[in-house]
Amino acid sequence: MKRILHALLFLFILSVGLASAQTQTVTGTITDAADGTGIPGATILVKGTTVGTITMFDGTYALEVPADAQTLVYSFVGMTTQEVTYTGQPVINIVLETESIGVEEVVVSAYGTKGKVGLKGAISVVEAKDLEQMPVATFDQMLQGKTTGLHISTGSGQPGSGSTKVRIRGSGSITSGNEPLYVVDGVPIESGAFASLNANDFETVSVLKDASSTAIYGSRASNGVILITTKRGKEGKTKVNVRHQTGFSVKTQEKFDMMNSTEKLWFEEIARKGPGWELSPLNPNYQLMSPEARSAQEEELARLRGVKTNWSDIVFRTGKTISNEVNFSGGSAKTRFYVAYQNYYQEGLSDRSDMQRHAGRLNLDHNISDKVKFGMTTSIGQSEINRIESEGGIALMNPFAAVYLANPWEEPYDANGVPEPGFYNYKNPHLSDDDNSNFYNPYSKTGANMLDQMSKSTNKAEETKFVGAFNLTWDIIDGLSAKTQYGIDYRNTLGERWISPDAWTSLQSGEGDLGRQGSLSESYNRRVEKTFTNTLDYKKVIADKHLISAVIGSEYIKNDYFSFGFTGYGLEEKLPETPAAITPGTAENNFIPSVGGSKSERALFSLFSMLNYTLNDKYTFSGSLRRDGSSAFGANYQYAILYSAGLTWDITRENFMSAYPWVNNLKFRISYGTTGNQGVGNYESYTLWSNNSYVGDPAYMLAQTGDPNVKWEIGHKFNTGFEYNLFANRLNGSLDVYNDITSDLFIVQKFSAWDGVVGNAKRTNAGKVRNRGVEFLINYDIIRKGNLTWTIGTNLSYNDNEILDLGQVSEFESGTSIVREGLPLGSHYMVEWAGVNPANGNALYYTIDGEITEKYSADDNVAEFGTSNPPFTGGINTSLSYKGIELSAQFTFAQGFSRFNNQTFFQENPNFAQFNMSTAMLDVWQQPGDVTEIQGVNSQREFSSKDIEDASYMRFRNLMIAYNLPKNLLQRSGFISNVRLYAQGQNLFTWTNWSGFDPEDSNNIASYEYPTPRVFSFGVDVSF
Amino acid sequence: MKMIKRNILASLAFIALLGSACSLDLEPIDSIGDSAAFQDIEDLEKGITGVMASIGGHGIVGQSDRASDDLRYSLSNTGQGVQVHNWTYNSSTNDLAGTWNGNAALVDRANRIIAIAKQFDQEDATVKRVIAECEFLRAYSHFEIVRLYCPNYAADAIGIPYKFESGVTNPSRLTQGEVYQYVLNDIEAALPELNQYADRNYWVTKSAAYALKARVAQYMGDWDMAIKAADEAQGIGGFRLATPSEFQGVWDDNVAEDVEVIFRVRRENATFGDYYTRASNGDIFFHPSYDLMSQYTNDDIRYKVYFGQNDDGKDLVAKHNGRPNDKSNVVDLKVFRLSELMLIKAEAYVNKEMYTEAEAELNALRAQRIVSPQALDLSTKSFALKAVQEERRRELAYEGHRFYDLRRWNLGIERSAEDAPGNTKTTLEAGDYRFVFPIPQEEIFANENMVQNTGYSN
Repeated sequence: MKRILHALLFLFILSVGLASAQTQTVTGTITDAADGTGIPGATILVKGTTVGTITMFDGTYALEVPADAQTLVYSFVGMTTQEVTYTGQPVINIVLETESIGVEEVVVSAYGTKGKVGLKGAISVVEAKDLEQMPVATFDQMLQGKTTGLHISTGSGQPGSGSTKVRIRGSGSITSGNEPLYVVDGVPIESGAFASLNANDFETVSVLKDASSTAIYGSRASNGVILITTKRGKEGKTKVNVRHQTGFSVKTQEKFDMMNSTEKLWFEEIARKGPGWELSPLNPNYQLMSPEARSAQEEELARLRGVKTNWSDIVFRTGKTISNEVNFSGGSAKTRFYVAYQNYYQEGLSDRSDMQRHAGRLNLDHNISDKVKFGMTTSIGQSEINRIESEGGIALMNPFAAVYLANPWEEPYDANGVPEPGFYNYKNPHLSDDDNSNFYNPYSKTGANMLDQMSKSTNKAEETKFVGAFNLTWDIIDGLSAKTQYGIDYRNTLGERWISPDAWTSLQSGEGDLGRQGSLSESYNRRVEKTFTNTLDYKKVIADKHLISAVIGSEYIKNDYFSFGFTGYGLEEKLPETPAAITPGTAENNFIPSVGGSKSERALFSLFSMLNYTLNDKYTFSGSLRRDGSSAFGANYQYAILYSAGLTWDITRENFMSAYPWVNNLKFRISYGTTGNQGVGNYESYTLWSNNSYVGDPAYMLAQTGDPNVKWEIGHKFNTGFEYNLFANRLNGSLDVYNDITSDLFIVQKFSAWDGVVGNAKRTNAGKVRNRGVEFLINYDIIRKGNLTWTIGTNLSYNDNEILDLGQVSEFESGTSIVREGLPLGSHYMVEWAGVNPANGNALYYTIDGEITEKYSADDNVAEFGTSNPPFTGGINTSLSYKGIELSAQFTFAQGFSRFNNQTFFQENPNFAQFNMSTAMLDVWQQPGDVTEIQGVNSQREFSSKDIEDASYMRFRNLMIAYNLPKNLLQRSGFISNVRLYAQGQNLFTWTNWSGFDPEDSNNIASYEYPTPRVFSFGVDVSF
Repeated sequence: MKMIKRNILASLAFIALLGSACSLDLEPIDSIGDSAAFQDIEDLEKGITGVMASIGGHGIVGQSDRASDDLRYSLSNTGQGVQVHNWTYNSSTNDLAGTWNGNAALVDRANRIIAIAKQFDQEDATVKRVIAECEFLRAYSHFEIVRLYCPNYAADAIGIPYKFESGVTNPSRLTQGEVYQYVLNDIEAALPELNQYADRNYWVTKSAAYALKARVAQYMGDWDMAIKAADEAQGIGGFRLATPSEFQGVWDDNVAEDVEVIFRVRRENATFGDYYTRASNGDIFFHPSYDLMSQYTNDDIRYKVYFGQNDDGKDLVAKHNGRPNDKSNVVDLKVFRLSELMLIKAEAYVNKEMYTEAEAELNALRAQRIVSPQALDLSTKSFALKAVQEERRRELAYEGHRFYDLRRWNLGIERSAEDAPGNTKTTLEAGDYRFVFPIPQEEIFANENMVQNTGYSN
């Protein structure tokens, strides 16, 4: 076979040779810059003629060049074309580089496809240089605003937080998860668990959006795929990079004000609750008091007015960030390596909130022989995260809630500077004990109790993550290779929660209770996902114009999850934060520990194939077919077959395009395909009984009502678009239009309480949702003159989400949101606020018929307040470089969405008058005739459209200035090859009307989340 | 060539082999699948025990207490139960959804076990008993819903659904006549097969079934049935009232099982609902109302058992504050007590104008509760009724009766100024629509056949 090919090629070369009489022979090898291997099928053309050839399978070529030839053009799909001036050299070796984004079509390799034939389609690539200096701990947050079709919202400012929301082209699912699939060097990894990964090791991050690029990932690809390749060593001198970064984080300014002491005490008087009321002369008890008692109480009120605690100053701090890193890469022809180590430390905005990471990587490639090679990718990371109490919860121990809910008249510390927890309970020296007890009530010290808890408890998570892959590639014959890869994504998390026996919460117990003397909980959970992938990869070039490549393979993925934990009591005070402090439990001492744990597993087996066919480098057809079987689905629907087909047309290569020399590159692509979403619980198809007891007898209790007909959600994805480079590559970008429909959509169907569904809710495949949209990427070099370059670029995405069909019904109502045909997902569903009745201060609402009523009824809910998913998202970036100086800025925005502000429900609610209130409450209705938006204290506060706010925002996300030391200066040192100094600011300013903490969040409800900080950092990178 | 071919074939075979080797049938590890759970009659016993473990019931107490005149708002309350206390509730008020959801779920769990029991030998005594116990629980849970979410009994008044089988049906509301008939049918069907243990009041007994029947009859105003059922309940079980010295033990879960309590639900860890104080730190949400506390004479032993004070001298509801030396607020729910049956009988006799018999019941009860009880005046029907109502309030305070009794008697609520601190609302007129709780909005949303109670919609 090989011989036949050789003969064909020989004939071909011969015929080319015959065409020209006076010729010279040029020989050489074309190799891939990435791995040094020969590139088969690359073309060599004599510029301005039809004389040319293609390389052999090992990348070698021989070309008869006419004597008058001046330039040779070397090109290959997906690589940067090179032109070489021909001056009669007999040997010309060329190294081709992979094209970078925007310049040429992006080709991303999936399933180990060799060379340059891989996925084609709507793919955006973010490169290492765009990620390397970001001062955030997890890589998903780094992708913010980097490219089209990708919307990222940070859910928490906690360093190392896993609550970042990542959406590729909107949400195609309601309940099955909308997280993309993350694949690192062929190994799928857990989403939302990136705290132990060092993103500086990433070479490229490719965002796969359309079916043509994602379908090969089958049933996990519905939400798009984020494909990461890590850095690998290259043959040559060993390179050393050293990086250091240091920075600090500060709080951004919230857009609401809380009351000061005088205001709050006034409000308490009106709300008839709290010391402001109990100490007030308006309180009926006042009439029962002696003049001495009255003046004592007035004194106390004056004292409270004088306490002006600024809780914000106490809770918030400036956090520091330090990162140190070194990496080595290099290798010989046989063996190449990349080794890196990073130490990263970041402090959050509050005490007891930080993260420390140690991450190491070893990537190794070795050629055992010409035909067999192995590759190894390993990364191991360990992170320790300290968390605040009750993060993101409307809970008094959450410092970011307490900072607003604690009263300004409350003193944080006692005379010794330690928090004095407990209750504020006034005792009037001129009153009897009975009267004191009758007149004054204890009020929990929200702020001091939180401070006490923060100092006497811990909440730690220690995560160890290992991502590794070992693969063996065997070139069976030229063009055909087999690859086997075993990958593992291993994480274990040790959680520790300690509450000191002398913490205020430990000392609390109900009437007659035995105290439990603190508690210590240890939890362990482990997730292991093993992936075993085997592929056969075939590639062949026929007659210089047909390039065929095909992959078939199988993949088995097994996921095991295991957890256990215990909570012990009766802690010895002198042994903090260790299980050794636990006193064994007996029936008498109330120290019996609680234990628990769980196990579950899941398996996925797939067979897949991919085919690419390219004609004349102009037309590429690609197709894929995959069959997935998952253990999570009922026997009736255990398998899904998923496919895609796509076409790419390189218009620039058409002859007629020579009339448009200003068009450097123009490509058109179109694709359609299906992907699946297997986001169901591991055992969701089963009806389950749990093991329980009643009066000591064993009992089976219904735990889950399963549905054996649980099916795959299927995404039907259509995409078409252009990529372009114009005006000597000064203007480049892409335009994509897509239409994605998810069918058999999982919907949480609410059931009548009578219908025996556990929790009155169950997921059913009941609907269809469409995401359609436009993505627009444009970069323009405004100035490109010698040393000076100024580029401005923007990525804009518009996504229109609509529920098309819900099967038997037209809507599912659920609390404050609704799933209704014709509306987008995340639509708010609420009674419409109609103001306050000036006559009596009662809240007014609109009935469903538009009439004004004082009676609140959820029957009057309407869906007229938009959605919590933004349709418009994007980013704007600009960079200026002059000689060694680079200046860049990035803005991101999200527009057209609204969120439910649960904070206002608390801060503007007299039921919670024992906590501090927003200054908005100063406008509370007090007497007939008051015209205000704040209802009177006697009117029950209900959730209404008043609490839904526009959360659109534009954020100045990043500003960076960097300076690269001049090369000539460095050359004198002899060993330093590059020095880069930079300074940057992150999250600098936000334009928004949202009145909560932070408009950007991972969910639709604002509830005292950990705010995203503003970060300033400085760094230096040195290469040797 | 040959070798290449062999290599390719080997690779293909390898990939194919892998396919057949991987199993996708992974059974649940932490829970038991439907088919594996119920294989023999022993499993069936575990099934009915599981239904017993799903009895909630505290919500009925909490809803009644908060809405009635038995509690006084504490200024240290941070929002707990305020909407119910001030009658500003509506269909979205979470505090009112638990009893609806919990009891409807109990109906379903009972129906599921009946369906499973039917797959076993129908002549087996255990199978028969399990079915009977489920029928009792089905009647009980339906009745608990009907007495909270429906107006006073009238055969043609709006009722609730009645379900005999588990399944998604979106049931609609029947008339009360139908619902009460089904409740009574289930009780009658269960009675012959139920066991009677005087010492097993954690489990369903004939006495419990008769006690339920007596209560149902009371709500229907069928006084003859009420008297007869109450007598049966007491007679079969041989229950007696707690003596004054035993009375505290009733609330500490520390008396013999034939004393006082006919049916109770075991609570190991779950608190009574933290309606009055927070179990974890003793924060007070509601005090007992001065109005209720003033109903007791100084020598009434119930006063000391039902009320207490904390270290700051603040009044507390102590009735359900937990077993001694155990967790706060963790205590059994007493569903039926003998004293309730006596009060049902007394009310029945008054309505039948048999005042001597009524007086005998009340005196028998008062003799065990009050050191030197005063003679009651039952000379007219209104006096007699008042005497029964007052005794019932005193005896059954915080047991989930007061608010529903007020509705039954068509009385309103008027809180005194001292029982209404802060901005507490004071008046709920007799017959106000809010005496019937709203159907939870989630039910209205999910079930297209469900109709909301009068007054809650615009």
